[in-house]
Order: sequence, then C-alpha cells, then structure tokens
Amino acid sequence: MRINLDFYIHWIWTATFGVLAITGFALMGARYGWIMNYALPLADYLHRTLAALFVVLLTLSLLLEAFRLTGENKPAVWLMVGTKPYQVFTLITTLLLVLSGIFIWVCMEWSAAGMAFSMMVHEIVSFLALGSLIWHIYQKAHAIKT
Amino acid sequence: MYNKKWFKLLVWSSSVFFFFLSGCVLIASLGPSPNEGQVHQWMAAMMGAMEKSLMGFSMQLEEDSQLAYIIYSSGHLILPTAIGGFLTGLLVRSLKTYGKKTK
Repeated sequence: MRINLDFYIHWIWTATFGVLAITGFALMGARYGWIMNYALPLADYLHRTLAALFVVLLTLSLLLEAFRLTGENKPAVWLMVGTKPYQVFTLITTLLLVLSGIFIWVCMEWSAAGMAFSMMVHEIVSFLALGSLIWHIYQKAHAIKT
Repeated sequence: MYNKKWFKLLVWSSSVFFFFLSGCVLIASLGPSPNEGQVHQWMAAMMGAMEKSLMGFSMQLEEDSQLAYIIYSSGHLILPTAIGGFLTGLLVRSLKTYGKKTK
C-alpha cells in the first residue's frame, strides 16, 4: 500500500487547522473564550506557532501542485489545493487567513483600522472555513462506508 | 486503505473533533452574551497572553525601527510577486491546454 506525500500533507494540515481553529476561536472574544477554559496564553502561543507551520504546509502544497501540473500530471486526490471547486475554495480561504493573520501579527501597533479590518476578515473566513469543513466531511463520508 | 482500521479511526476522530468544535461555536454564537465576570476573565487572560506569550513579544518587536523598516520594505515586494505568480500560473495553464489541443 503506497501512501503519497499529498496524503501526509492532507492529514497534517487537518490536525494543524484543528488546533488553529480551537485556539483561534478561544482568542476571538469573551463569547468563545470558554472553549479553552480562558487559557489564552497557551492558546496564543499554539496559534502563532502552528500558524507558521500552516504557512509552510500551504507553500508545500502549492509547490506540489505546481510540479504536478507542469510534470506528468499524476493525480493527487488528497491535496488541499488544486483545480476542483473545493480545492479552489480552500486555497482562497487559506490565503485570506494567512495574509490577514500576518497583518494582525505584524501591525498590532501600527494601524488600528488595518488591524480591525484584518481581524474582521480573519474571523469571517474562519467561520466559513469551519462550516465548509463540516460539508467536506459529509461529502466524503461515503469513502469509509462498508 | 479506506477499509483499514487505522484509517477509519483517523477519519472518525478528526470528524468528531470538528463536529464538537462546530457545536461549541454554534452554542457560543447563538447563546446568551457573556456576563461581566466572563468578560473580565477573558480580558485578564488576554493581558496574561500579552505578558507571557508571543503576542507581547511581537509587540516589543514592532518598537524596533530597523525591523519595522525591513518589514515595510518587504511589503513592497509582496504585491508584484503575487501578481507575477498568478500570471505565471495562468501562462502555464494556457500552455498545457494549448499542448493538449495540438496533440
């Protein structure tokens, strides 16, 4: 049984996104802080550390897709980015999350308006991404039915 | 692979995690607003994050003017790089489509 790189990237991405989601929602506001029992120093540390890993995974996925398209074009069914509609949606939401996240990280003191806009984008896209993930689970559930 | 026990366990555990997280987010979003105690608890935890975590560290880095200049200068590279990458992707895609049509 051969397991390709795209399979590993998919599940590492899933685990990373899961921790980013739970820590991110806890950091979002007092309404959601109870999700991690208000352990915000830990949530902040995990969120920022795994965000760096998330960017690495995104870069790796984009490189893999670029090599796949310009090379033998072997199918990579587990890859998070690609030409199928949900892959394009994942790419767009990931880019929005990464770019707004970088802005939040870097520009906390510089521009209050930019910070507020980035946080709004980051929060809305995170809701969309989580909702789409539930849809994705339902859509692919047929694969493990016996 | 789809019939292997470890794979089914992987899928079920991640699915359960995300379903529970979605449930928590829905409960928090549609439920009552946080009370004063919860708001103070969250604000105190956020102050703790600024003191103990990377949030405070990054805020101190922003006071470094040399680093700020580097970050600002690198920002000028991002837009041309992103546009160039997008156009390159379109070019590669059109070349592959043209290559398939002429075969």
